[in-house]
Amino acid sequence: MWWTEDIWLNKKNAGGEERLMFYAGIDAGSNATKTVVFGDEGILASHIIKTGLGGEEQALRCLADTCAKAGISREQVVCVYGTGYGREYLKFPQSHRSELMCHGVGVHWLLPEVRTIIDIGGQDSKGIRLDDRGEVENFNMNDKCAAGTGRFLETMAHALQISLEDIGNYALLASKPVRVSSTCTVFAESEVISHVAKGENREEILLGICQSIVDRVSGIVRSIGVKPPVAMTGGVALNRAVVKLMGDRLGCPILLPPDPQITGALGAALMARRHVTAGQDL
Amino acid sequence: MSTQTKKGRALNSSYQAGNILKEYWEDAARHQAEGRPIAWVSGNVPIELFWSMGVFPVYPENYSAIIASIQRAQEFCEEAEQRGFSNDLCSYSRVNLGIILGKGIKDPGLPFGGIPRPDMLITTRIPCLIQVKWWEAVREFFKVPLFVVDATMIDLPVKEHQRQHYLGQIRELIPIMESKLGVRFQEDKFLEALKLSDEAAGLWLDLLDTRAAVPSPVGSREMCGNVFPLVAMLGSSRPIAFFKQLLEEARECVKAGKGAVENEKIRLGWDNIPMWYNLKFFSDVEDQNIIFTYETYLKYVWGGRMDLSDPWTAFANKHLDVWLNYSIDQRVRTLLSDIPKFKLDGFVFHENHSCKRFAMGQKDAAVAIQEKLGVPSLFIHSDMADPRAFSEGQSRVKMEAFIELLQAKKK
Ligand SMILES: Nc1ncnc2c1ncn2[C@@H]1O[C@H](COP(=O)(O)OP(=O)(O)OP(=O)(O)O)[C@@H](O)[C@H]1O
Ligand code: SF4
Ligand SMILES: [Mg+2]
Repeated sequence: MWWTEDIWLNKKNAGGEERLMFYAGIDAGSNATKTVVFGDEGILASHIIKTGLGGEEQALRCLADTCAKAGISREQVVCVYGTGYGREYLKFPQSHRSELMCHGVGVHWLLPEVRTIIDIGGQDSKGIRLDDRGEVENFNMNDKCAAGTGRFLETMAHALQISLEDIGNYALLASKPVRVSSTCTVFAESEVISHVAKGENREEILLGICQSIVDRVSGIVRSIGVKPPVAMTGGVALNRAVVKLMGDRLGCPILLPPDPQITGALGAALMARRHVTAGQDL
Repeated sequence: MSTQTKKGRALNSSYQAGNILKEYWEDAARHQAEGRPIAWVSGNVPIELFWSMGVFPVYPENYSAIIASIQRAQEFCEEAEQRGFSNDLCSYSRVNLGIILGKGIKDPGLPFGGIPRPDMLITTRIPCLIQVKWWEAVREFFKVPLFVVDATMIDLPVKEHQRQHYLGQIRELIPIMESKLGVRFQEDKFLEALKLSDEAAGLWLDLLDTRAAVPSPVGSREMCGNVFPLVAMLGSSRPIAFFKQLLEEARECVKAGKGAVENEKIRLGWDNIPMWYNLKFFSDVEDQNIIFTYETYLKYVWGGRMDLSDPWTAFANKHLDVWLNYSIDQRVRTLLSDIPKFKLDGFVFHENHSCKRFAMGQKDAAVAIQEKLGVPSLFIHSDMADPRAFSEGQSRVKMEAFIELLQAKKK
């Protein structure tokens, strides 16, 4: 479990005992909805559910589940900030911020030395550069299609009848990738199916799939100028092969936050806290 | 991010723009009905010449922009694409070819009763080559003469050989127009047209300059609606009264310290043609204490001052001195001097899929303004007329994050 990581314990132990006020961040992503409940000194609980068609109701349920995990009541959460694709449709948060800012704030809290973040989610891939205060200095993201995103991996997992979780693990068993050249997700799917039909090695195909994500995303990231240390966030950061190949491509190690998928929600929760403690909309 | 209620125009005179546009297309139809010649023309043609010779210059480009603004560009783009025109061609051309090859230029469903038929096609290589190929395709259909005004790409100041090359083209064009269209060139009328053009351009540029004031009196959303007379009517008297009124009002606003947006906090510039189907992109931003107050498209593409003591030299200079004909270095230099003048906090580059000649050098410009001025920029990849190129969700996130970045920088 990620909250046994040192970094988490340090943050948790740093604070006082009294926790009367709680803050929450909700990242209504295109693929997954993530919630973080934050006490005065650290993360109390987080929760991830599929976004689906749930809308506001789904988001509220995710928040309620997180509160339950944290052992607090929803009423004790004094401020909620929203982010993610669905942020504008959520009525209950006090305010909302872009995912770029939220991932920046979240990562900066966990790993303050990080200067470049690569966030790969369900339909977006983003490169975010931070200054030493954790403010977004520059960013870029895909804006035309879902190639090089989690959706691409999901399609491939489906085509190869393998679980998302296994893609990275199997890919790392291969020594060389089979080239997947189509950028279009749909064409890439048929390309992959034809590789399978030709009897190509499965692990090598999987490595090729991960490589193609890295090829796409590294272009976006390089366009903003990569400054190390680099961290990856978003659900695709759970894919070990993508993380490894990205490090090889950029020529630097990739840092991973304890739970890379929730950093956007964490950033939103931190802003909710700032909202209350600084007494203003930040 | 608060969403305030929709505001009206910042300058009352802006409400006239719609009428001027309507009158122009009605005049064109009347001109044809009276048996007088129509030329289909394109951006940066020697427009003053046409008005002075009694040839009505019809702008299919403008018509395509109108079609886009009423959310109908996609159907005509698809019409053209089904006939084999590539999706990579300029969307103005696809809309136009879709109209021509589909139900035709007189289809009753079209705005302003459709487009009058051309008697001649005149274009120029100044903005781009797509324009030339587009006119060639149109010629196949209408079987009318086509003239292409050649020009060289420039770095300011315009050189003598560049001017001579351009004027040589004009000297060739005039007798062809006379013989093909049955009109006559009269130098005094031409000089009069240049005077009108120069006066209108002067008023327009002064109007743009008022927007260097803080707070700015008028934003991009509104100004994009006001530019049409500068595109299509230079050399006629129509733009002058309109621009005069706009200028007076803008000056009054500046004097009174009245801004187009409440509590102006962030000032932005815009490069490339706006998304005509989505001018809301500007107004959504302009609802949040942010103003777009500078556009290369409005300042360097249409119109320009002329020193009429040497009218032919001035005429050539004016037509060569346009953004689309600038080298990358010239574009960068221009932005580096204008951004501080207009006190811009950030710059948005529209990476326009259609107009590659406009998008050329945008990355170089972005790097230069970041390095030399510390002004950040944002790229929005889209298209001026084809709405299929616009990604709503992604563009909104980018714009929102850009605003957050600028706000944090201001703190
Ligand atoms: N255990 C896992 N192993 C590998 N990949 C995973 C795993 N869990 C999720 N993913 C990937 O993560 C993606 C979802 O990530 P995330 O929650 O960051 O996206 P999102 O925020 O909803 O999307 P976006 O930011 O694009 O709107 C899925 O598409 C999937 O490909
Ligand atoms: S590509 Fe640009 S310059 Fe060429 S016709 Fe289209 S809009 Fe005009
Ligand atoms: Mg996300």
